[in-house]
Amino acid sequence: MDPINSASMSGDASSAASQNDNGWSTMGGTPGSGFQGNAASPPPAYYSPSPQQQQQAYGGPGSITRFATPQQQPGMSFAERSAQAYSTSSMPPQPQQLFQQSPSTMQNPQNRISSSQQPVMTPSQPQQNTYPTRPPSINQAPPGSFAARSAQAHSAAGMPSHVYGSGVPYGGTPASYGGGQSVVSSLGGSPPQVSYAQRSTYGQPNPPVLANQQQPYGAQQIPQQVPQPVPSPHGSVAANPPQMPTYVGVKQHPPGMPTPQDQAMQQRMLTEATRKVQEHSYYMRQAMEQNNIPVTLDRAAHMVGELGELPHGQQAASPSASNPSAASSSSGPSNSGLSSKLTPKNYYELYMRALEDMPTFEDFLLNLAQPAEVPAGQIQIVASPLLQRKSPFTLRELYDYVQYCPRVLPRLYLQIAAGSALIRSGEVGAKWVLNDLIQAVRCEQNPIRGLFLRHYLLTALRDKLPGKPVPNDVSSETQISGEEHTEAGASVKTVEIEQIDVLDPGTVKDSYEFVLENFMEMNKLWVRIQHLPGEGNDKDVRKRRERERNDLRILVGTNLVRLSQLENVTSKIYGEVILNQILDHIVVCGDPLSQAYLMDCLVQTFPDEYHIETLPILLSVCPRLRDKVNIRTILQGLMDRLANYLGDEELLDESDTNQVKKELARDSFGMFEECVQNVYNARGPKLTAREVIRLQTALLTFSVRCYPENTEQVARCLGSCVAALRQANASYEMGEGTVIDMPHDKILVKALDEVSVAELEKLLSIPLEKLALKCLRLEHYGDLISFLPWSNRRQVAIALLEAVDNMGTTPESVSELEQLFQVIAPLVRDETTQTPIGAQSQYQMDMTRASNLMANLGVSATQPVPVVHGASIGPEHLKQVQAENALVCKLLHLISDPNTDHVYEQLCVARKHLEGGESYRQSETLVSLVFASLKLARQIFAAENGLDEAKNDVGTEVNKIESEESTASQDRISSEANNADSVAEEDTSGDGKIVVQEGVAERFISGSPVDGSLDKDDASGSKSGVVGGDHSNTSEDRPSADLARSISCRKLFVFMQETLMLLSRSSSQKALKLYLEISLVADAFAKMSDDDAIGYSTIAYEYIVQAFTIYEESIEDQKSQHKLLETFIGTLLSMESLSAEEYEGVITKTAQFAAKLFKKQDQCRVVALCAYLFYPVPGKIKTSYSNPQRALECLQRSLKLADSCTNTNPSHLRLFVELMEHYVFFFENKNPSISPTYISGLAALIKEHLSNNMGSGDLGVVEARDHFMELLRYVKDKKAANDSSELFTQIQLEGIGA
Amino acid sequence: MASFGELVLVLGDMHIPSRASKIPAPFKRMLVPGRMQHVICTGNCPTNDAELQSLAPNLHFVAGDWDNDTSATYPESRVVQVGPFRIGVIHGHQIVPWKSHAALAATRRKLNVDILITGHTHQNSVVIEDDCCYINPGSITGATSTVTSDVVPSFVLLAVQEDKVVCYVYELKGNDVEVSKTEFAKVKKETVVSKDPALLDSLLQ
Repeated sequence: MDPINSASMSGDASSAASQNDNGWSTMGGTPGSGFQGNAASPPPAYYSPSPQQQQQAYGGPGSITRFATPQQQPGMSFAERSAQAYSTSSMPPQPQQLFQQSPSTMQNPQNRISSSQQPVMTPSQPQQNTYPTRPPSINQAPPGSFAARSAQAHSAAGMPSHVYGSGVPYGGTPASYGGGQSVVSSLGGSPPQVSYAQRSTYGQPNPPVLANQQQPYGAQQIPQQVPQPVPSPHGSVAANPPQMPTYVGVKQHPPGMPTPQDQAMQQRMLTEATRKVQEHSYYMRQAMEQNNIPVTLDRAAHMVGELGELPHGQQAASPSASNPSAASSSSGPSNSGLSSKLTPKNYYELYMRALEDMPTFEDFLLNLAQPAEVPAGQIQIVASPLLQRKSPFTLRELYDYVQYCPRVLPRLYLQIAAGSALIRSGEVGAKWVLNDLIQAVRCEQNPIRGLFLRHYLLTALRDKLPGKPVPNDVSSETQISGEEHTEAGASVKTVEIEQIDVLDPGTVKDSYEFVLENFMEMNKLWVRIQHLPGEGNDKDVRKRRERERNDLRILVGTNLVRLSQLENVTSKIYGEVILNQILDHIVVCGDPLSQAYLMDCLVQTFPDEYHIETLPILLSVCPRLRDKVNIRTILQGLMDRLANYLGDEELLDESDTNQVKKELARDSFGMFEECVQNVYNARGPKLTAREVIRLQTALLTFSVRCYPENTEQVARCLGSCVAALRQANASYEMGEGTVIDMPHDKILVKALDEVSVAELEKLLSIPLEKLALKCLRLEHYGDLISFLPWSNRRQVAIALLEAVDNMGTTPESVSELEQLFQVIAPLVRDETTQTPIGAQSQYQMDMTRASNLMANLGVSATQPVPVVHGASIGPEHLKQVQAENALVCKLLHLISDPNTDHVYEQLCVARKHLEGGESYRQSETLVSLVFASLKLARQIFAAENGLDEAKNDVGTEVNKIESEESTASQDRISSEANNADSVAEEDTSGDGKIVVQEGVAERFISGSPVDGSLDKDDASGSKSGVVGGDHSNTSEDRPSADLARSISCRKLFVFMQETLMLLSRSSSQKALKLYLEISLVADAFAKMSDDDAIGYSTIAYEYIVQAFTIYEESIEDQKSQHKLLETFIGTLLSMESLSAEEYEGVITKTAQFAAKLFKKQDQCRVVALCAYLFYPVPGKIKTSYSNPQRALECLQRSLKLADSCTNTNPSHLRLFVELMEHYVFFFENKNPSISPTYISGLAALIKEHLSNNMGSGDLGVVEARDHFMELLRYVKDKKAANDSSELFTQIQLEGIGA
Repeated sequence: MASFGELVLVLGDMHIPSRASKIPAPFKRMLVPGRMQHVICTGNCPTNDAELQSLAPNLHFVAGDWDNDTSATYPESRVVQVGPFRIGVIHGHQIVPWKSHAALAATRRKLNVDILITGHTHQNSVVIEDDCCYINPGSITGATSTVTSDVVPSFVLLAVQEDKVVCYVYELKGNDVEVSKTEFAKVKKETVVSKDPALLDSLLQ
């Protein structure tokens, strides 16, 4: 027989008397009496009203006998006991009897006497004498018993005793009290007072307090008298079980809205309650030092009792300062009763304070049971108390004693503390204690108090949960169920049914079952808080409750944390038992706050490995959660964890041990996606677009992190988004939204709200970093972007281009570039510019129209007038536009492909899009486009002429490979005409693309300049089947013999010219400069190709003519004119392929322009430069144009201008020196028209001017003189040098200085 | 650093973004802020490039032929004094004929400098002639040029120490940076020309 059973047997009512006697005399007395003392303050209500029958039953020493009873029925769970306490309503006549298990104990009045004579009690003995006025009771109750006193108090107050009864908490039906009250006069001497008396003796260490106690009791009961069963929970429950749910009686009175007054009130109450706690704590410690067990227990009970309701009939002390006497008077073993008015947060504060000393108390208990001299091995004594002598008590006994506290809440706290100590002592296995406690705490059903109580249960036992793995699955499955039976069954039976091995330390199974149950109960309580009635309107109350609950959630979460920390909980157990139970519970509880928090808790507390294995289970729950629960945060948390885990795993785990998990993880995306879909289905239209986007964002982030290569997943995410958004849009009315362009269809889009837009933008940016251009291949990417407003699309576009720039990847096909431009449209044009992409008509204008346009618009150099669209932009916007332009330009530079035709097509696409842009965009992007074209032109030219060996080789290789497939093998270096023809043939053999291509070619022709020299080229261009930008698809299945190059270098010049025409509308100056730059390239090509069969020189000339045209028509700014003329001259001087006639034509024109410059000094300088044009350095020009006389004329003309300038301002003297430089240059280069006398004369002139103006100190003059001296030194050096002395001696400088 | 004396970074003709995307990475790594005392830019550089601005405390820009935009207007040419050297900076498109050394020499005389720095051709060069130095840093981005067909990205670093300057030319060939070095010492010319009227006369004798 196990100890418990034996104990219970021995405690049997019939046989217990003598045993108890002995037991108590030896060891039981003190604690028992202590407890009674402890009960002193609340009990008055309890005992005093006890009906007469009870008095009889008691027979006096009831209190003591009670101590024995638990021992008699140790197997009886606490729940039963408490249940009995609750069930008092069903058995009104003898609640106390049941509660106290008294029948057997009544027999022994002596017990108490002996106990009171215990040495421990001796200090209090004298005190008893301080109340000798009490008539000694029949049972030798010490005088001054509390009951008597309280009775006196009542009578003194003139209170009818029934008042008392009405406030009775445990007393069962008021009727029974009524019975008791009728005997008020006899109370003092009646048996029950024995207990009071005893209690009072224990209370004696604080006589003044006791004395004071009367006051509040007496005074305070008055107001409470008749009506209220309500404020006392148990009483009310007992009295009105049918009418009220159990918690109604515990109605909390939280302050209303947290007004300052309320807060101050709260603070006062908290302070007051805390003070109480500290007071009790202080006395408890004091009592511990004195080894005064009763007082210790009493004080401990009060200490934690501060967390509970007041006993019946007491009114909460007012925290107001106006009632100091009341406050101080209740400072005895009494409670303020304020806790029920505290907000949960403040209650938590109080809870922390109240439990501060509980560990001390626990240690105290432990020490009582295990004094130093008793070896731990002797715990067995418990089994036979008779043998135990070395230690005053066993913990088992203590565990039982503490339960005699009549108030539920303190009793439970103490029981938990004792239970904790019990486990530590090892007297009883943890399993039994866990079981007992978890059932005991069911007593407390007030949501807040219950939550904290259970939290304490968890924390107290945190480190005492058994962690032993379950040996087999053959665990005590019956335990719980058996337990449940016992609850319903009679107590005596329970003892027999009870199967628990008291010493069984238990396994982890017991632990998690314990925590699980605690968790579920706590959650129930937590949820219930929501439904507490409150003041104010429903909404306010609901809000307040939610706030309060949010403060408390950690209490519930602690359970899960503890669960996750249990050792030996395998993922199997977790998946099969724990998780399922938790999830079921979460779903069933149906409370959004609870669901959201607990799901998150689950995700955060349990290890990643578990999640991976149980992912399907966890996810399957999500759709079943309430609508208010934010699934996204839960999923996001889970995905983040998994992603991190996988990341770490890859870093750390080199072995294959986790391969399985990886496999599982591989599919986790699918699971998540399915889950998200299920959530959609479950919630339907209630799910906002924003939430859809957020969900998909989370999913996408997960995918990108875990499966960086898996674009399919990204595509699926995007697809879901599009579907959801479309669905959302479907319900909107026409006219509410705006029709936007989609690549494939037009849909009506209701403007998303700001948050959604931001979220969508975020979503779209996620894959960019990793995928860059690959995003474009995603089916729905473009569609999704269309949902964004323009400015947000711009942000996405910027992100995209930056990613592209970083990755350096280039668009691989025309279609891809096409898509790309669709996406980055916001960087190419402003939103208002809704010009359709096919706006080629704008550039189909012929040459004259273009010229007219430019002239009409009067595009000035410094400030490009927005031609296409009139919007002028501010500096801020300009900066932004410049940054955007830079990105687009970078993209253009990235375009490259060994296949030049592909590049050309891409450039065409680019231009098609760019030309839709504003002038302030075009003016930069088109320049880049031209240079990109120029690069291509050089590439093609090099290939055509076999100049670039490296490229050649690559080209031929590719060519070989590709031509193997297509039968048409092309001679790469064949003439362009051949090229064009053959490709054209090939194209016709293709799938009829030629038709389209011709159309495009036509357009190109019409857009090309009128100049005849290029017509031929256009013709060949059309023959060669230029692929226009707007049918990008053709590139994909295009026959791959492209290296035959359908696009000739010449074609590129046409292309560039067209582009420049576009550009000239936005920035004529840039167009002009580009014309000049490109003419140089054409010129260089002409030089490089042997006979210039293609006519590059003509192209060069054509470009120059264009430049002149622009100059004439558009450049009006003087400064620009000056600078541009310099560029003209430099360019023309570098040209070598022009025919003499062409050359003469252009230089003459240049000279004319120079002569028209507005400022004289500019004119002077530029005209002098023109001299170089007329006498170019020999050997450079193919046609050897030379006109020395015209050069001289230029110089002379310039000289006149210089003279005129210097006359007005001496600082222009330097013009003379510069001119002299020119003279020297031409002289040195043997211009026959320049005679040395010019130089000598000029030198003399300069000398003259210098000496005239030296005094002025003009900076220009000084610089002129320095320059002059440098020049003179140069001439002298030349004279001295052997090779040039002959020439330079002609210059007569001598004598000038004189 | 002290061993190098004053460091002057010479670069130009970036043509960002019109012709090139960025300064090549190998160069970018070398351009560390705080090492150089001067940055001389021959033009056609983005004027608001913060990175360029942060390189050195003294920046000397001149206007290039594509620098015509509204943003800060730079002078056509300027003279920078570094140590004993007068350094003239001009973009060079104004000096015709292009690529003519005689024209450069004339410009050098006009500016009356010891070192003339020009750009425009995208073709780096360091020429010492008649006790004067002509430097062209080329294009640091290797931007395409219509004047020069094959552009090698390059820039020049001048280490000025007392009356000596060492020109380091950095060229990017493939992914390797090649450095060549030219030394140039200031020749004591006849003492300060402008202060002595007699000297002018002597030149005319």
